[in-house]
Amino acid sequence: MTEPEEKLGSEVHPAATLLPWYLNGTLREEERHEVARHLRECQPCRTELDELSRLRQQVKAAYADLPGLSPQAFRSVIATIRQERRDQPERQRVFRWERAGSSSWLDALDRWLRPMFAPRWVPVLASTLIIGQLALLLWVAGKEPAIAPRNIPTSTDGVVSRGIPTATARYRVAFQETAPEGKIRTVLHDIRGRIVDGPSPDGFYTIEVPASDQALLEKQLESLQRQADLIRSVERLKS
Amino acid sequence: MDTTHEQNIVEVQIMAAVASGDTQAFERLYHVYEKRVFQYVSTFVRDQTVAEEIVVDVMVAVWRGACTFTNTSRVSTWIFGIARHKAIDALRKVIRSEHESMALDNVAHLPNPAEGPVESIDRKQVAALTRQAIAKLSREHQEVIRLAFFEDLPYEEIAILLGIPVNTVKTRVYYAKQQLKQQLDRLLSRESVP
Repeated sequence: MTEPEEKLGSEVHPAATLLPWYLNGTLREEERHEVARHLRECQPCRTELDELSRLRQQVKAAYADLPGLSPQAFRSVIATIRQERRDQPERQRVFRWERAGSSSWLDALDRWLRPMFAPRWVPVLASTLIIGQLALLLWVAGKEPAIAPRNIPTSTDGVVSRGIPTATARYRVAFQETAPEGKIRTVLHDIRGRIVDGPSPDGFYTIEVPASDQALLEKQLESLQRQADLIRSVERLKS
Repeated sequence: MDTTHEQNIVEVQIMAAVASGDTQAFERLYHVYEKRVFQYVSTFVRDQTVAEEIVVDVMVAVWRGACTFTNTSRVSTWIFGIARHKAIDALRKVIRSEHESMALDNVAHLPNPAEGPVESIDRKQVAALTRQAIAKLSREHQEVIRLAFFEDLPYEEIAILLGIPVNTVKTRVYYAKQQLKQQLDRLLSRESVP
């Protein structure tokens, strides 16, 4: 529905329509500056502002003097909500602030998690679990490993590795020029090897393989030597 | 940061407590809003008993719906939105007599005609005259005068509450103010005539 008074006359300054909010202090910063600038130059708007200010005071006084609700209304509301509290004591009431721009996701998470800790036994259980985990961690950290691999450095070596080191061996391998890449990859896969250096000017690669068992390494070397169609030369490097 | 903004931050915290089921926080919120909601509802429903029943409904709805408050508007806008919805709903149901008079019209003290301008009469008399003048405005004008001059809501929030464009809010408040001034001047001049 369009009401005739909803359109402003051309004689009305646009700034004049913002004066009520200039007075109640809810204009955005740039609008406030704009209105203030206009007021410095416009006498009719200054008069309008004075008039509005007086009217605003009068309206506030007029409404402030009006009576409020009867105490019975308050009793009625409180009785209703207390009854609801009794009926639904475990009801989780969480703000739906995930959609809100002005609230951070941390606030939303906080409000989401907070009701979960409302029952008294929850913090006790959580604390017990944390203490238990801490005790377990300290116990595990304090235990010496039963069998330490020979090549794993210890704190007494002066250097402590951050990773989990494994024993390795290296082969010096030259592939046939006609060897397809797919077959070379299969060979590497079979021996769980990886190229760590090469090719050298004479076509040799250095391949590193896990070396937990010496007998296995010997078999592996023999197997590589048998694949003459793929491998031109292979030898084990001294570690 | 303006006072109403700071006030809203406090109210948002109270709302969070209400949402978590804190009845004391709700009582605090109730006392902040009971009279304001009652008066706002009274701009729609002139029967004070009905208005009071609506406020009870509104406050219970605030309690039940606190967890749905999204903080995208002020708490006051949210509560007045509920109040407006319920008041309009009630308005449709209530059958009013054509000559029903609003309590606002029943002003006890009118200014002494000899006293002349508004500055010379006491505060209570001015308030009474202003109430009389407000009561003569259309419901739409009464509503925006209250929201902009008494509740100090930003025009964007009034637009959201009323479901109208912001420019319409500005225009409506501008003309509501003109109407209010005319009514006040008329009342004052009537009182000035011997």
